[in-house]
Amino acid sequence: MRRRTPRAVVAGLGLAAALAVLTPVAANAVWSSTATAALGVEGAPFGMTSAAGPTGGSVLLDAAGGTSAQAEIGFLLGSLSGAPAWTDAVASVQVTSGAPSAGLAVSTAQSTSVATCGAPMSYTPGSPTTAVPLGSAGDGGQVLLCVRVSLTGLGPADAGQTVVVTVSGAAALGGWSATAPVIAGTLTIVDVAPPVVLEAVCTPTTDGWYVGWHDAVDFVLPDGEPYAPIHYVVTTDALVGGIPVKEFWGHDLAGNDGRPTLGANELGGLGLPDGPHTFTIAPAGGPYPIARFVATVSGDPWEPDVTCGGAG
Amino acid sequence: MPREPLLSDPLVRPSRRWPAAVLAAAAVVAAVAASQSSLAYWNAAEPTETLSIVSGTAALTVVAPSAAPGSLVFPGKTVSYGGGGFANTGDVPLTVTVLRTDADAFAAALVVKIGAAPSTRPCSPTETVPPGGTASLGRHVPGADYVMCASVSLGSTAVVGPGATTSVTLDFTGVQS
Repeated sequence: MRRRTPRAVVAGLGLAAALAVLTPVAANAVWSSTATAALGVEGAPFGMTSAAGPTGGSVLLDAAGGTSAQAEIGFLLGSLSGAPAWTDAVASVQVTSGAPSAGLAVSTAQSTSVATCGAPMSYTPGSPTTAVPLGSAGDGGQVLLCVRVSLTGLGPADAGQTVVVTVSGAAALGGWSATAPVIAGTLTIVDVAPPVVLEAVCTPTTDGWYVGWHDAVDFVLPDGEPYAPIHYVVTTDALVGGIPVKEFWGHDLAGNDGRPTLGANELGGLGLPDGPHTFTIAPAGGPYPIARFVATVSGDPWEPDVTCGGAG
Repeated sequence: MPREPLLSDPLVRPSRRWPAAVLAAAAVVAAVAASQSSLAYWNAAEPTETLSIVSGTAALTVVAPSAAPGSLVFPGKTVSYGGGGFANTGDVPLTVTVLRTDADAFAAALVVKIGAAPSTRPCSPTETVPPGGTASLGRHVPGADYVMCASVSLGSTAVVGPGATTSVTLDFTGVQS
């Protein structure tokens, strides 16, 4: 027997359907209003600058007539004006020596308050390729990075050669990063001791002691060519103004046979005070190696006794 | 032969005089019709006072907060924005939500927080509004006047932003509630 759906159920379903249809109509009646606001945001500048320091971009590595030299060169690594201070920064230093046979030592120092690469900067040993963590700097602040280059065992061929120091910088602040333009400085080697081509020889004679020298080896020009100067000038720092003690002309000292001598009597009358004096023997006519020796004079200033003190 | 009454209902009592009454009524109707006068319906009218019905409004006004001049954002830095506000100037209570719609890479790297408080209380930005996301500023009755503040910070790992400018766009919607 088939059951018929009660009328109450049918009526209920109909009401529900009607409500389902009517509900969205009711939602449309909700009022609303909109407005927009904008927040302007500006990112800070961030960058790294590089410049030559107080030493300038070119300095001299003056061996002062010796075989070693030391000099400092400075660089300024800075932040942009208005920039926040970086939290991490490093300078990469690379030193390339044009005197490969010489010993090279590199040390670095830095400061945000000192404007010179001299004292009281405290140098830390490094290597020809070294990374230096930098102190913080912001809003145009700068870090002075000084690189000290020390050369030992310099030879005459090293004179005029250069040591190039290249510095690059990188800084970071969180995820931000910046690099500084690569900057380089040059150190030029000057006044290197000549090779030991002159030996002081003290020879007793019946006339007294003679100081002589001979060229133990040939002079060699930087390009490797032998050089035979014909004009030597002997001076001593005991005489103000570099007054020649003696000049030698026409001597071809190439080879080992030349033995020009400086007699004790030739030192007389020069007014040399008693004591050791450094004599310099220099070939005239160009920037050629020189030699030095030390002789001690004493006694009669007109005919002093001379004692060889060594050569250098 | 006289005709017999057709109705047998006792309530219907045929009378010998009804033809006369019927005739009289018909005469009255005919007279009225002939006079062309209206039916005897009486009425009276009194004008009512004018009744105006004015629709209410849902109105939300917003003043964007601003940062101090020269405020720059960088990784780890939070810039505060003040001096803003919003008001329910309509007639219905509104539930206010904020939708962030800025789109560029710099803006996307920014962490934006907003806050609102009655003008007598300090404002602190506590509601984070992520890029493309929303935040609620609660339900506000008509006449409510709130100060609004915000903060913008750049994540420490963000790589964008040096020297850049952008705008964080906040769309406020007040829905009757």
